[in-house]
Amino acid sequence: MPYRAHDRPMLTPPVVPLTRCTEAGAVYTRRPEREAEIHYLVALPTRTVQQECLSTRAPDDAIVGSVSRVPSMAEGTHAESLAYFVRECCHDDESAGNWLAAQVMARTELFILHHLRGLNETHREAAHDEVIGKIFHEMCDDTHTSGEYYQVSFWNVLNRRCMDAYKRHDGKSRWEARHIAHPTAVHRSNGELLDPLDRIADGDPLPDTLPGEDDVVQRGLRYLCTHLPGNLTTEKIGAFSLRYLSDLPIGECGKPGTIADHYGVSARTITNWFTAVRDALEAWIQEEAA
Amino acid sequence: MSNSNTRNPSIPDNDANDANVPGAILDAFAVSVSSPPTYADLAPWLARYPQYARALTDYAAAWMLASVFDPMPDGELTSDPARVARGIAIARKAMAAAAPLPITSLVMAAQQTGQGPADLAARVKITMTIFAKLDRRLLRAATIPERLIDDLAVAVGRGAEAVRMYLQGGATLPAGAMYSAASAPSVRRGEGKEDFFDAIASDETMDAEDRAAWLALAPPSDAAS
Repeated sequence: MPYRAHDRPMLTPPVVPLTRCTEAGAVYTRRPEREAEIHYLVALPTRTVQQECLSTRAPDDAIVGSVSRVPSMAEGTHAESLAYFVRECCHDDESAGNWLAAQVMARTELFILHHLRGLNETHREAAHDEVIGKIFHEMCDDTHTSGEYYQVSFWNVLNRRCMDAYKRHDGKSRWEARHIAHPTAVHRSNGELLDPLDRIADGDPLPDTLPGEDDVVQRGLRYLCTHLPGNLTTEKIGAFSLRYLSDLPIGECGKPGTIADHYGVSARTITNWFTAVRDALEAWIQEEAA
Repeated sequence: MSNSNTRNPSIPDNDANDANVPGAILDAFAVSVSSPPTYADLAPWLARYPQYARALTDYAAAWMLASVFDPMPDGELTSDPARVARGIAIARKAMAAAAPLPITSLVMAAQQTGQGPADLAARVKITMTIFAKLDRRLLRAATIPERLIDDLAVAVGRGAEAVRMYLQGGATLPAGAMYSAASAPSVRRGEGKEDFFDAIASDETMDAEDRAAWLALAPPSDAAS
Protein backbone atom coordinates (compact mmCIF):
# COMPACT_ATOMS: atom_id res chain seq x y z
CA MET A 1 0.00 0.00 0.00
CA PRO A 2 1.55 3.32 -0.97
CA TYR A 3 2.58 5.69 1.73
CA ARG A 4 0.08 8.52 2.13
CA ALA A 5 1.53 11.45 3.98
CA HIS A 6 -1.79 13.13 4.68
CA ASP A 7 -3.31 10.13 6.40
CA ARG A 8 -0.78 9.62 9.12
CA PRO A 9 -0.18 11.78 12.17
CA MET A 10 2.18 14.60 11.31
CA LEU A 11 5.14 15.72 13.30
CA THR A 12 4.35 19.10 14.72
CA PRO A 13 6.43 21.56 12.74
CA PRO A 14 7.78 24.63 14.45
CA VAL A 15 5.83 27.82 13.85
CA VAL A 16 8.15 29.88 11.72
CA PRO A 17 8.83 33.21 13.41
CA LEU A 18 8.73 36.51 11.60
CA THR A 19 12.07 38.00 10.73
CA ARG A 20 11.16 41.30 9.12
CA CYS A 21 12.38 44.23 11.21
CA THR A 22 10.61 47.48 11.94
CA GLU A 23 12.31 50.78 11.33
CA ALA A 24 13.39 50.71 14.97
CA GLY A 25 15.12 47.40 14.45
CA ALA A 26 12.63 45.25 16.33
CA VAL A 27 11.22 42.18 14.65
CA TYR A 28 7.58 42.50 13.65
CA THR A 29 5.20 40.41 15.67
CA ARG A 30 1.89 38.86 14.83
CA ARG A 31 -1.05 39.89 16.95
CA PRO A 32 -1.39 37.51 19.92
CA GLU A 33 -4.67 36.00 18.77
CA ARG A 34 -3.21 35.31 15.33
CA GLU A 35 -0.11 33.76 16.88
CA ALA A 36 -2.28 31.53 19.07
CA GLU A 37 -4.42 30.57 16.12
CA ILE A 38 -1.39 29.56 14.04
CA HIS A 39 0.08 27.49 16.87
CA TYR A 40 -3.26 25.80 17.31
CA LEU A 41 -3.63 24.98 13.64
CA VAL A 42 -0.05 23.83 13.18
CA ALA A 43 -0.43 21.41 16.06
CA LEU A 44 -3.49 19.73 14.56
CA PRO A 45 -2.70 16.13 13.71
CA THR A 46 -3.29 15.92 9.99
CA ARG A 47 -3.30 18.18 7.01
CA THR A 48 -6.93 17.34 6.36
CA VAL A 49 -8.01 18.56 9.75
CA GLN A 50 -5.90 21.68 9.37
CA GLN A 51 -7.62 22.46 6.12
CA GLU A 52 -11.04 21.91 7.56
CA CYS A 53 -10.28 24.19 10.47
CA LEU A 54 -8.81 26.84 8.21
CA SER A 55 -11.95 26.77 6.12
CA THR A 56 -14.59 29.40 6.55
CA ARG A 57 -17.16 26.65 6.67
CA ALA A 58 -17.08 24.25 9.61
CA PRO A 59 -17.62 20.86 7.97
CA ASP A 60 -18.94 18.69 10.76
CA ASP A 61 -19.61 18.46 14.46
CA ALA A 62 -16.18 17.12 15.29
CA ILE A 63 -14.49 20.04 13.64
CA VAL A 64 -16.92 22.52 15.12
CA GLY A 65 -15.95 21.21 18.52
CA SER A 66 -12.26 21.75 17.93
CA VAL A 67 -12.73 25.07 16.20
CA SER A 68 -14.69 26.43 19.12
CA ARG A 69 -11.55 26.31 21.20
CA VAL A 70 -10.27 29.23 19.20
CA PRO A 71 -13.14 31.70 19.38
CA SER A 72 -12.12 33.82 16.44
CA MET A 73 -12.16 30.79 14.17
CA ALA A 74 -15.89 30.35 14.52
CA GLU A 75 -16.26 32.85 11.70
CA GLY A 76 -13.22 31.68 9.82
CA THR A 77 -9.53 31.87 10.38
CA HIS A 78 -7.96 35.31 10.47
CA ALA A 79 -6.58 36.37 7.13
CA GLU A 80 -3.18 36.86 8.74
CA SER A 81 -3.15 33.23 9.83
CA LEU A 82 -4.20 32.14 6.37
CA ALA A 83 -1.30 34.17 4.98
CA TYR A 84 1.05 32.20 7.24
CA PHE A 85 -0.12 28.92 5.73
CA VAL A 86 0.08 30.29 2.22
CA ARG A 87 3.70 31.29 2.80
CA GLU A 88 4.64 28.07 4.54
CA CYS A 89 2.72 25.64 2.35
CA CYS A 90 2.90 27.22 -1.07
CA HIS A 91 5.59 24.80 -2.16
CA ASP A 92 3.59 21.78 -1.06
CA ASP A 93 1.45 19.66 -3.29
CA GLU A 94 -0.97 21.08 -5.82
CA SER A 95 -4.13 20.28 -3.90
CA ALA A 96 -2.93 22.21 -0.85
CA GLY A 97 -2.03 25.15 -3.07
CA ASN A 98 -5.39 25.10 -4.79
CA TRP A 99 -7.19 24.90 -1.51
CA LEU A 100 -5.30 27.81 0.02
CA ALA A 101 -5.75 29.90 -3.11
CA ALA A 102 -9.49 29.27 -2.99
CA GLN A 103 -9.63 30.29 0.66
CA VAL A 104 -7.85 33.56 0.03
CA MET A 105 -9.97 34.28 -3.02
CA ALA A 106 -13.15 33.69 -1.04
CA ARG A 107 -12.05 36.25 1.54
CA THR A 108 -10.61 38.92 -0.72
CA GLU A 109 -12.61 39.04 -3.93
CA LEU A 110 -15.25 41.54 -2.83
CA PHE A 111 -12.79 43.62 -0.82
CA ILE A 112 -10.62 44.05 -3.90
CA LEU A 113 -13.55 44.80 -6.18
CA HIS A 114 -14.83 47.40 -3.78
CA HIS A 115 -11.55 49.25 -3.93
CA LEU A 116 -11.44 49.07 -7.71
CA ARG A 117 -15.03 49.91 -8.54
CA GLY A 118 -14.20 53.38 -9.80
CA LEU A 119 -12.58 51.70 -12.78
CA ASN A 120 -14.49 50.53 -15.83
CA GLU A 121 -15.16 46.82 -16.06
CA THR A 122 -12.20 45.96 -18.25
CA HIS A 123 -9.72 47.77 -16.05
CA ARG A 124 -11.39 46.57 -12.88
CA GLU A 125 -11.07 42.91 -13.80
CA ALA A 126 -7.51 43.39 -15.00
CA ALA A 127 -6.59 45.23 -11.81
CA HIS A 128 -8.25 42.55 -9.72
CA ASP A 129 -6.14 39.86 -11.37
CA GLU A 130 -3.06 42.00 -10.93
CA VAL A 131 -3.69 42.36 -7.20
CA ILE A 132 -4.23 38.62 -6.77
CA GLY A 133 -1.02 37.81 -8.61
CA LYS A 134 0.89 40.39 -6.61
CA ILE A 135 -0.26 39.34 -3.17
CA PHE A 136 0.35 35.64 -3.82
CA HIS A 137 3.75 36.35 -5.26
CA GLU A 138 4.66 38.39 -2.20
CA MET A 139 3.20 35.96 0.31
CA CYS A 140 5.19 33.08 -1.21
CA ASP A 141 8.44 34.81 -2.09
CA ASP A 142 11.03 33.34 0.24
CA THR A 143 13.69 35.71 -0.94
CA HIS A 144 11.92 38.78 0.45
CA THR A 145 10.76 39.22 4.01
CA SER A 146 8.22 41.83 2.96
CA GLY A 147 5.84 38.92 2.37
CA GLU A 148 5.62 38.62 6.13
CA TYR A 149 3.62 41.85 6.24
CA TYR A 150 0.56 39.85 5.30
CA GLN A 151 0.86 37.99 8.59
CA VAL A 152 1.02 41.25 10.52
CA SER A 153 -1.76 43.28 8.93
CA PHE A 154 -3.25 41.51 5.94
CA TRP A 155 -6.04 43.93 5.12
CA ASN A 156 -3.89 47.04 5.36
CA VAL A 157 -1.38 45.57 2.93
CA LEU A 158 -4.14 44.39 0.61
CA ASN A 159 -5.70 47.83 0.78
CA ARG A 160 -2.41 49.32 -0.32
CA ARG A 161 -2.04 46.87 -3.19
CA CYS A 162 -5.56 47.75 -4.32
CA MET A 163 -4.80 51.46 -4.23
CA ASP A 164 -1.64 50.91 -6.24
CA ALA A 165 -3.51 48.86 -8.81
CA TYR A 166 -6.20 51.48 -9.03
CA LYS A 167 -3.67 54.21 -9.68
CA ARG A 168 -1.93 52.16 -12.33
CA HIS A 169 -5.20 51.60 -14.12
CA ASP A 170 -6.46 55.11 -13.74
CA GLY A 171 -4.36 57.21 -16.06
CA LYS A 172 -5.09 60.46 -14.32
CA SER A 173 -4.51 59.10 -10.83
CA ARG A 174 -7.64 60.75 -9.63
CA TRP A 175 -8.10 58.19 -6.93
CA GLU A 176 -9.55 60.43 -4.31
CA ALA A 177 -11.87 62.37 -6.54
CA ARG A 178 -13.32 59.26 -8.13
CA HIS A 179 -13.81 57.47 -4.85
CA ILE A 180 -15.27 60.18 -2.74
CA ALA A 181 -17.67 61.18 -5.49
CA HIS A 182 -18.91 57.66 -6.06
CA PRO A 183 -22.71 57.64 -5.83
CA THR A 184 -22.84 54.61 -3.60
CA ALA A 185 -21.12 56.63 -0.91
CA VAL A 186 -24.44 58.37 -0.16
CA HIS A 187 -25.87 57.40 3.17
CA ARG A 188 -29.28 58.43 4.29
CA SER A 189 -29.39 60.80 7.21
CA ASN A 190 -31.61 60.33 10.20
CA GLY A 191 -31.42 64.00 11.06
CA GLU A 192 -29.81 63.53 14.44
CA LEU A 193 -27.54 65.97 16.22
CA LEU A 194 -27.14 69.48 14.95
CA ASP A 195 -24.38 70.66 17.18
CA PRO A 196 -21.28 69.23 15.49
CA LEU A 197 -20.96 72.30 13.34
CA ASP A 198 -21.07 74.50 16.38
CA ARG A 199 -17.83 72.92 17.38
CA ILE A 200 -16.22 73.68 14.07
CA ALA A 201 -15.03 77.19 14.56
CA ASP A 202 -14.28 79.57 11.75
CA GLY A 203 -10.92 78.77 10.20
CA ASP A 204 -8.15 77.36 12.35
CA PRO A 205 -7.48 76.43 15.10
CA LEU A 206 -9.84 73.51 14.85
CA PRO A 207 -11.11 71.15 17.47
CA ASP A 208 -8.80 68.19 17.98
CA THR A 209 -11.60 65.73 17.52
CA LEU A 210 -15.32 65.61 17.16
CA PRO A 211 -16.03 62.81 19.61
CA GLY A 212 -19.22 60.92 19.01
CA GLU A 213 -20.31 63.22 16.27
CA ASP A 214 -18.10 62.19 13.42
CA ASP A 215 -20.91 60.20 11.95
CA VAL A 216 -23.12 63.24 11.38
CA VAL A 217 -20.29 65.17 9.81
CA GLN A 218 -19.35 62.22 7.67
CA ARG A 219 -22.87 61.72 6.45
CA GLY A 220 -23.11 65.37 5.62
CA LEU A 221 -19.82 65.31 3.77
CA ARG A 222 -20.88 62.26 1.79
CA TYR A 223 -24.05 64.02 0.80
CA LEU A 224 -22.14 67.08 -0.31
CA CYS A 225 -19.71 64.94 -2.30
CA THR A 226 -22.45 63.33 -4.29
CA HIS A 227 -24.44 66.50 -4.87
CA LEU A 228 -21.70 69.14 -4.95
CA PRO A 229 -24.01 72.10 -4.24
CA GLY A 230 -22.92 75.62 -5.20
CA ASN A 231 -19.26 75.86 -6.04
CA LEU A 232 -18.16 72.92 -3.96
CA THR A 233 -15.67 70.46 -5.39
CA THR A 234 -14.49 67.09 -4.18
CA GLU A 235 -11.11 68.65 -3.44
CA LYS A 236 -12.69 71.17 -1.06
CA ILE A 237 -14.65 68.50 0.73
CA GLY A 238 -11.63 66.20 0.82
CA ALA A 239 -9.48 68.92 2.35
CA PHE A 240 -12.12 69.64 4.94
CA SER A 241 -12.33 65.96 5.81
CA LEU A 242 -8.62 65.58 6.17
CA ARG A 243 -8.56 68.42 8.63
CA TYR A 244 -11.61 67.64 10.69
CA LEU A 245 -11.70 63.88 10.59
CA SER A 246 -8.05 62.94 10.22
CA ASP A 247 -6.42 65.93 11.89
CA LEU A 248 -4.03 66.74 9.05
CA PRO A 249 -2.66 70.28 9.48
CA ILE A 250 -3.40 73.00 6.94
CA GLY A 251 0.24 73.97 6.74
CA GLU A 252 1.40 75.58 3.56
CA CYS A 253 2.12 74.68 0.00
CA GLY A 254 5.61 73.22 -0.27
CA LYS A 255 5.50 71.70 3.19
CA PRO A 256 4.87 67.96 2.79
CA GLY A 257 2.48 66.37 5.20
CA THR A 258 0.04 69.25 5.07
CA ILE A 259 -3.29 69.78 3.39
CA ALA A 260 -2.14 72.85 1.50
CA ASP A 261 0.77 70.98 0.01
CA HIS A 262 -1.31 67.94 -0.75
CA TYR A 263 -3.66 70.01 -2.87
CA GLY A 264 -1.00 72.41 -4.09
CA VAL A 265 -2.72 75.58 -2.94
CA SER A 266 -2.10 78.25 -0.32
CA ALA A 267 -3.23 78.04 3.29
CA ARG A 268 -5.59 80.93 2.65
CA THR A 269 -7.25 79.01 -0.15
CA ILE A 270 -7.65 76.02 2.11
CA THR A 271 -9.28 78.19 4.76
CA ASN A 272 -11.66 79.57 2.15
CA TRP A 273 -12.51 76.04 1.11
CA PHE A 274 -13.30 75.19 4.72
CA THR A 275 -15.67 78.11 4.95
CA ALA A 276 -17.50 77.00 1.84
CA VAL A 277 -17.79 73.41 3.04
CA ARG A 278 -18.86 74.46 6.50
CA ASP A 279 -21.61 76.69 5.08
CA ALA A 280 -22.83 73.84 2.90
CA LEU A 281 -22.79 71.48 5.85
CA GLU A 282 -24.81 73.91 7.91
CA ALA A 283 -27.38 74.13 5.16
CA TRP A 284 -27.53 70.35 4.89
CA ILE A 285 -28.05 69.89 8.61
CA GLN A 286 -30.80 72.50 8.69
CA GLU A 287 -32.44 70.82 5.74
CA GLU A 288 -32.24 67.47 7.46
CA ALA A 289 -33.68 68.89 10.64
CA ALA A 290 -36.59 70.37 8.71
CA MET B 1 7.05 24.64 3.74
CA SER B 2 8.90 27.70 2.73
CA ASN B 3 11.65 29.50 4.48
CA SER B 4 12.63 32.89 5.66
CA ASN B 5 15.85 34.62 6.38
CA THR B 6 16.21 32.87 9.73
CA ARG B 7 17.00 29.90 7.58
CA ASN B 8 19.41 31.62 5.32
CA PRO B 9 21.97 33.81 7.03
CA SER B 10 23.05 35.21 3.70
CA ILE B 11 19.91 37.30 3.56
CA PRO B 12 19.99 40.36 5.79
CA ASP B 13 17.22 41.09 8.24
CA ASN B 14 15.35 43.17 5.77
CA ASP B 15 15.51 43.11 2.06
CA ALA B 16 18.40 45.04 0.64
CA ASN B 17 18.03 48.79 0.31
CA ASP B 18 14.43 48.83 1.48
CA ALA B 19 15.01 52.19 3.09
CA ASN B 20 15.66 53.62 -0.35
CA VAL B 21 12.51 52.31 -1.92
CA PRO B 22 9.43 54.51 -1.46
CA GLY B 23 7.14 51.51 -1.95
CA ALA B 24 8.82 49.67 0.90
CA ILE B 25 8.41 52.69 3.17
CA LEU B 26 4.73 52.91 2.30
CA ASP B 27 4.34 49.19 2.98
CA ALA B 28 5.93 49.57 6.39
CA PHE B 29 3.70 52.55 7.11
CA ALA B 30 0.60 50.57 6.08
CA VAL B 31 1.48 47.75 8.41
CA SER B 32 2.34 49.98 11.33
CA VAL B 33 -0.84 52.00 11.56
CA SER B 34 -4.37 51.50 12.57
CA SER B 35 -6.94 51.55 9.84
CA PRO B 36 -7.50 54.23 8.70
CA PRO B 37 -4.46 56.26 9.73
CA THR B 38 -4.59 59.61 11.46
CA TYR B 39 -2.14 62.46 11.43
CA ALA B 40 -0.75 61.15 14.70
CA ASP B 41 0.18 57.97 12.84
CA LEU B 42 1.60 59.87 9.92
CA ALA B 43 3.67 62.53 11.68
CA PRO B 44 6.52 60.28 12.92
CA TRP B 45 6.93 58.85 9.44
CA LEU B 46 7.10 62.31 7.91
CA ALA B 47 9.86 63.18 10.35
CA ARG B 48 11.75 59.95 9.71
CA TYR B 49 11.49 60.03 5.94
CA PRO B 50 11.24 63.66 4.86
CA GLN B 51 12.34 62.65 1.37
CA TYR B 52 9.18 60.57 1.04
CA ALA B 53 6.88 62.92 2.92
CA ARG B 54 4.81 63.72 -0.12
CA ALA B 55 4.31 60.09 -1.07
CA LEU B 56 3.42 59.23 2.50
CA THR B 57 0.96 62.11 2.72
CA ASP B 58 -0.70 61.30 -0.58
CA TYR B 59 -1.09 57.69 0.42
CA ALA B 60 -2.37 58.46 3.91
CA ALA B 61 -4.76 61.11 2.60
CA ALA B 62 -6.21 58.74 0.02
CA TRP B 63 -6.66 56.12 2.70
CA MET B 64 -8.24 58.59 5.12
CA LEU B 65 -10.66 59.90 2.53
CA ALA B 66 -11.60 56.44 1.33
CA SER B 67 -12.49 55.46 4.86
CA VAL B 68 -14.80 58.45 5.16
CA PHE B 69 -16.39 58.51 1.74
CA ASP B 70 -16.12 54.97 0.52
CA PRO B 71 -17.19 52.59 3.28
CA MET B 72 -17.58 48.96 2.36
CA PRO B 73 -21.30 48.53 1.65
CA ASP B 74 -23.21 45.41 2.57
CA GLY B 75 -24.43 43.19 -0.23
CA GLU B 76 -23.74 45.58 -3.07
CA LEU B 77 -21.02 43.52 -4.69
CA THR B 78 -21.43 39.94 -5.70
CA SER B 79 -18.96 37.19 -6.27
CA ASP B 80 -18.41 35.88 -9.76
CA PRO B 81 -17.43 32.19 -10.03
CA ALA B 82 -15.52 32.87 -13.23
CA ARG B 83 -13.50 35.58 -11.51
CA VAL B 84 -12.80 33.32 -8.56
CA ALA B 85 -11.63 30.51 -10.83
CA ARG B 86 -9.42 32.92 -12.72
CA GLY B 87 -8.01 34.25 -9.46
CA ILE B 88 -7.19 30.78 -8.21
CA ALA B 89 -5.35 30.01 -11.42
CA ILE B 90 -3.38 33.25 -11.11
CA ALA B 91 -2.61 32.50 -7.48
CA ARG B 92 -1.39 29.02 -8.33
CA LYS B 93 0.85 30.41 -11.03
CA ALA B 94 2.34 32.92 -8.60
CA MET B 95 2.83 30.22 -5.99
CA ALA B 96 4.52 27.93 -8.47
CA ALA B 97 6.83 30.72 -9.60
CA ALA B 98 7.97 31.39 -6.05
CA ALA B 99 10.77 28.90 -5.80
CA PRO B 100 11.92 27.99 -2.30
CA LEU B 101 15.42 28.77 -1.16
CA PRO B 102 17.52 25.63 -1.27
CA ILE B 103 18.62 23.88 1.89
CA THR B 104 22.37 24.16 2.20
CA SER B 105 22.83 21.73 5.07
CA LEU B 106 20.56 19.62 7.24
CA VAL B 107 22.63 20.58 10.28
CA MET B 108 22.10 24.25 9.50
CA ALA B 109 18.42 23.70 8.78
CA ALA B 110 18.06 22.09 12.19
CA GLN B 111 19.94 24.88 13.93
CA GLN B 112 17.87 27.53 12.23
CA THR B 113 14.76 26.04 13.78
CA GLY B 114 16.33 25.90 17.20
CA GLN B 115 17.28 22.23 17.15
CA GLY B 116 20.57 20.46 17.38
CA PRO B 117 21.40 17.70 14.89
CA ALA B 118 20.86 15.07 17.58
CA ASP B 119 17.44 16.52 18.39
CA LEU B 120 16.44 16.41 14.77
CA ALA B 121 17.76 12.88 14.31
CA ALA B 122 15.85 11.65 17.35
CA ARG B 123 12.73 13.42 16.18
CA VAL B 124 12.65 11.58 12.88
CA LYS B 125 13.81 8.32 14.51
CA ILE B 126 17.20 7.90 12.92
CA THR B 127 20.63 7.73 14.49
CA MET B 128 23.32 10.36 14.28
CA THR B 129 25.22 8.03 12.00
CA ILE B 130 22.38 8.02 9.48
CA PHE B 131 21.79 11.71 9.98
CA ALA B 132 25.43 12.47 9.23
CA LYS B 133 25.21 10.40 6.07
CA LEU B 134 22.08 12.24 5.01
CA ASP B 135 23.68 15.57 5.79
CA ARG B 136 26.72 14.71 3.68
CA ARG B 137 24.46 13.20 1.03
CA LEU B 138 26.21 9.86 1.14
CA LEU B 139 22.97 7.91 0.69
CA ARG B 140 21.33 7.33 -2.65
CA ALA B 141 18.41 9.70 -2.76
CA ALA B 142 16.21 7.28 -4.67
CA THR B 143 16.35 4.81 -1.81
CA ILE B 144 15.40 7.25 0.94
CA PRO B 145 11.77 6.68 2.00
CA GLU B 146 9.28 9.43 1.36
CA ARG B 147 8.26 9.17 4.97
CA LEU B 148 11.70 10.21 6.16
CA ILE B 149 11.78 13.07 3.65
CA ASP B 150 8.40 14.28 4.85
CA ASP B 151 9.38 13.97 8.50
CA LEU B 152 12.60 15.88 7.92
CA ALA B 153 10.70 18.55 6.01
CA VAL B 154 8.19 19.04 8.78
CA ALA B 155 10.82 18.96 11.49
CA VAL B 156 12.87 21.72 9.89
CA GLY B 157 9.83 23.66 8.69
CA ARG B 158 10.61 23.27 5.02
CA GLY B 159 8.93 21.74 2.03
CA ALA B 160 9.48 18.10 1.17
CA GLU B 161 10.69 19.19 -2.24
CA ALA B 162 13.44 21.32 -0.70
CA VAL B 163 14.62 18.36 1.38
CA ARG B 164 14.45 16.05 -1.62
CA MET B 165 16.45 18.46 -3.72
CA TYR B 166 19.08 18.68 -1.02
CA LEU B 167 19.38 14.92 -0.68
CA GLN B 168 19.76 14.55 -4.43
CA GLY B 169 22.84 16.77 -4.45
CA GLY B 170 26.39 15.60 -4.64
CA ALA B 171 28.14 14.13 -1.63
CA THR B 172 30.05 16.59 0.51
CA LEU B 173 33.18 16.36 2.54
CA PRO B 174 32.99 16.40 6.33
CA ALA B 175 32.66 19.90 7.68
CA GLY B 176 35.81 21.16 9.31
CA ALA B 177 38.01 18.38 7.98
CA MET B 178 41.64 19.30 7.32
CA TYR B 179 43.72 18.02 4.41
CA SER B 180 47.41 17.92 3.79
CA ALA B 181 46.96 18.12 0.04
CA ALA B 182 47.40 21.46 -1.68
CA SER B 183 43.72 21.53 -2.56
CA ALA B 184 40.72 19.95 -0.89
CA PRO B 185 39.77 16.56 -2.28
CA SER B 186 36.52 16.32 -4.15
CA VAL B 187 33.72 13.81 -4.01
CA ARG B 188 32.45 12.62 -7.34
CA ARG B 189 28.76 13.08 -7.80
CA GLY B 190 26.85 9.83 -7.18
CA GLU B 191 29.96 7.75 -6.76
CA GLY B 192 29.94 5.24 -3.96
CA LYS B 193 26.64 6.33 -2.47
CA GLU B 194 25.09 3.86 -0.11
CA ASP B 195 21.60 2.41 -0.23
CA PHE B 196 19.51 3.85 2.60
CA PHE B 197 18.27 0.45 3.76
CA ASP B 198 21.76 -1.01 3.70
CA ALA B 199 22.86 1.86 5.90
CA ILE B 200 19.99 1.19 8.27
CA ALA B 201 20.70 -2.53 8.40
CA SER B 202 24.37 -1.99 9.13
CA ASP B 203 23.86 0.72 11.74
CA GLU B 204 24.50 -1.02 15.04
CA THR B 205 23.62 2.05 17.05
CA MET B 206 20.02 2.10 15.89
CA ASP B 207 17.23 0.97 18.16
CA ALA B 208 15.93 -2.42 17.03
CA GLU B 209 12.34 -1.22 16.83
CA ASP B 210 13.25 1.78 14.74
CA ARG B 211 15.41 -0.36 12.48
CA ALA B 212 12.58 -2.79 11.93
CA ALA B 213 10.19 0.07 11.17
CA TRP B 214 12.53 1.53 8.56
CA LEU B 215 13.37 -1.81 7.00
CA ALA B 216 9.68 -2.54 6.69
CA LEU B 217 9.56 0.29 4.17
CA ALA B 218 12.19 -1.33 2.00
CA PRO B 219 10.98 -2.35 -1.43
CA PRO B 220 10.59 -6.11 -1.83
CA SER B 221 13.02 -6.33 -4.74
CA ASP B 222 16.07 -4.32 -5.79
CA ALA B 223 13.84 -1.66 -7.30
CA ALA B 224 15.29 0.95 -5.01
CA SER B 225 18.74 0.71 -6.46
